[in-house]
Amino acid sequence: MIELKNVDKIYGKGDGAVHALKDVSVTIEDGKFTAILGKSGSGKSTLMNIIGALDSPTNGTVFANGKNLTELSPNALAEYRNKTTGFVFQSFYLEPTFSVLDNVAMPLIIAGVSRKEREERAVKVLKKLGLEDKIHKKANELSGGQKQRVSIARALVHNPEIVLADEPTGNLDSQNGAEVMALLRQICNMGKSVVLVTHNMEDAKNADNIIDIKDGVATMRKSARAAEGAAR
Amino acid sequence: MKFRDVFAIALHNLWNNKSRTVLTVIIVTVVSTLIMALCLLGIAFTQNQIDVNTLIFNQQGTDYRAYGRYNESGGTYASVPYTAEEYRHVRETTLEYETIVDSFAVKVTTSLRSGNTDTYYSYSWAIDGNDSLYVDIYNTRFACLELYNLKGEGLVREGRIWSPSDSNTANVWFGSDYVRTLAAQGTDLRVGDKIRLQAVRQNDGFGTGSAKEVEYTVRGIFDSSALKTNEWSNAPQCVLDADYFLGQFEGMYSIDEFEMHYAPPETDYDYNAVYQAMKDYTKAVNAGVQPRIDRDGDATEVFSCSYVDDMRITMLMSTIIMALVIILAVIILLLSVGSVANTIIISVDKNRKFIGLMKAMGLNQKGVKRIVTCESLVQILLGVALGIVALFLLRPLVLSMMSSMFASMFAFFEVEYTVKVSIPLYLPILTALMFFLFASLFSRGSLGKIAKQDVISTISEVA
Repeated sequence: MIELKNVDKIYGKGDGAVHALKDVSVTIEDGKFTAILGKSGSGKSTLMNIIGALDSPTNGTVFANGKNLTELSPNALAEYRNKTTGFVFQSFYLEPTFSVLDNVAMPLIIAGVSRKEREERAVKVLKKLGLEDKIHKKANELSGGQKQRVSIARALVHNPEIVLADEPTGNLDSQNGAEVMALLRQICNMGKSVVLVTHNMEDAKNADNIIDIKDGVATMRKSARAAEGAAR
Repeated sequence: MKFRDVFAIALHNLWNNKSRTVLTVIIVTVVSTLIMALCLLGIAFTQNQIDVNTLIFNQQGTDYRAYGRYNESGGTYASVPYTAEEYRHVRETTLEYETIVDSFAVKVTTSLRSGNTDTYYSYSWAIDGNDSLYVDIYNTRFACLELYNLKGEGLVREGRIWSPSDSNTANVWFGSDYVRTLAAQGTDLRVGDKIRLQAVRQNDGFGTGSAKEVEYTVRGIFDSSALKTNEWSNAPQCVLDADYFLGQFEGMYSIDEFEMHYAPPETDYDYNAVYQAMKDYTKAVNAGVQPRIDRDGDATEVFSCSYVDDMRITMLMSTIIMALVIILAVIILLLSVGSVANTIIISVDKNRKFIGLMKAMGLNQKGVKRIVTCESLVQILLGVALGIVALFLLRPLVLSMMSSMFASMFAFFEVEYTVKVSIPLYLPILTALMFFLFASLFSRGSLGKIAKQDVISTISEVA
C-alpha cells in the first residue's frame, strides 16, 4: 500500500512558483487498479511520479508498505524503483537499437541478474503478452501497439508490486488502446497494483479507484465498476 | 549491475554516437602518439646512455684519479702536493678495495723547494756504470706493485711480471718500445742488468753534483701498449715500485697525482656491487685527502671515479631530459584533454534519454558514473592502442635519430654499439591512465550533474 499524506509539490520559487499538487492525501491500495484522472496540466503525472518515487514532494510524506520514501537516499530510491515499480510511458521509451528481448530485460540488467536468468524471465513475459515472435526484432521495427506491449512487458519482467502507466494509450489507435487497457486490467487481476494516469474517462472506468485531480487538488472515490462489484 | 553489462551498454552508447566516438578516438590517438613518442625518446636516450656507459665500462674499465691539486688564493694557483700521510691513506684504502682496483700508480714531480727558489731535478739511469739512459718521468709508472697487476703473463716479453713480493724492492721493468728505441741507439738493455738511478740537480748539469744514486735491477720487459689507459696519452715505458722510490729519494720528489684503473671480468660479476664499491671507494679516499680550494674558498673533492662521474652526468642529463619530456607531455595532455573531455561530455549528453530511462528503472548515480567511465575508458584505451600502432610505425624514425645522436656522442670511446629503442609496457598504460585521469577531472563536474540530475527532468527533457 502506498499512502500519500498532505503532499505538496511546488516547482520553481517566488512569483513564478507553480503549485502542482496541493495537500494531496491519497492511498493506493494493494492489488487494486487506481486511475488518476484529470485534464492536461492538472498535476496527474506529478502525482504518479511521486507515487513511483521518480520525484519527491516539496512537503508531506509518502509511505510505501510502511517505508517513508521521502527519507530515503537517491540510491535507496533507485533500488526501490528497480525492485518495486514498473513504468509504462506514453512514448514507450524503448531503446530503438536494442532487441525486444534486451529492452524487456533492462530492469533485470540494472538489478544485476545473470544473462541466462533475465533472458528466461523476459521470454516468459513476452510469451504471455503474445510477443514471442518479436523477441529478436529491434524495437524500432515494431508497430505502436507492439511497442507499448513491449513496454508493459518491461514493466512486468522484474515482478514489481506496482505498475504505473502514464497515458499508455495516448499514442495508440482505439483498438490497440483497448488491448493495452485489457492488459493492464489483467495485470491487476494477477494481484499487482496498477496506477493509470489518464485524461480519458473511458479508460478510467476500468479502475477500482479513481483519483480526480484538478489544479493540484486530488479527491479519491470508488469507481462505478468497484461500486457494482461491491453491490454484487 | 554487472561489469559485462556496463561494458555492453557503454559500447552501445558509443556505437549510437559513432561520429563523436571516432572523433574522440582520433584525438586520443594523435595526442597519445605524440606523448608516447616524446617519452620514448627520453626513455631511449636515458637507457641507451646507461647501456653505452656500461658497455664502455665492461670493455675499457674505469679510471680513478686524483689530479694535481692546485689551490687558488688571491687569483694565483699554488700546487699542493699530496703528503706522505695522504699517500698512506690512499694506499691503505685502495688495499681495502683491491677487488675493484687493478692498478695503482702515482705521478711524481721533480720540483723541490729550497728556500725561496725552486730547484729542479731529473733522473737518469746508468747501465753498468757506462751508458746513461734518460727516462722521461712522465713515461714512468711509479706503481704500488702489490696492487699493480698486469692481467696475463703473456704481456711480458722477457723476464717476469711484477708481483706483490716486489714491493719495496729495487726492481725495475721497461717497456718494449723503449727497449727497442735504445737498441736502435746502440744500447742493449737486458733482463738482469744492474742500473743506477740518479737524481741530478738540474742547474749542476748531468753527471755532476748527483744528489742521490740508487741501484736497480731490470726484472722484465713488458708490452708497452698493455699499460696504456685513457688518461695516459703515452704508454708508460718504465715501471718501478713507488714506495721504494719515494723512500730512497725522500724529500726530493713530491706526489703530484694518483691514478688507478679497474677492468671488470668479462663475465659473471655483480655489476651493482661493483658500482656501489666504486662509489664507496672514492668516498673513502676523499675522506682522508685534503680537497682542492677554489678562489671562493669552496672545497672540491679531488679523487674521482670516471665511471661513477659518467653515470652521475648520465643520470643528471636523464633526469633533466625526462623532466622536460614529462613537462612537455603534461602540457600536451592538458591542451588536448579539454577537447577529449568535451567530446566525452557531449557523447554522454546525447545519451541522456537512455540514461534517464535507466534511472527510471532503478539505475543509481553510481551506475550512471560507471557507464560513463566505461565509455571514456573504452575511447581512451582504443585511442592509446592505435597510438601504440602509430608508435611502432614511428619507431624507425626514433631509432635513426637516436643512432646518429649516439654515434657522435660516443665516437671518442670507439665502442661498437647498436642503439635499442623498445617500447616499455608501462608507457601506454601510464599514458592511458594519465589521459583517463585528466579527462575524468575535466569532465567530472558535467558528468556529476548528469548523474545527479533527477529522473523527471531527464524524462521530461526527453519527452
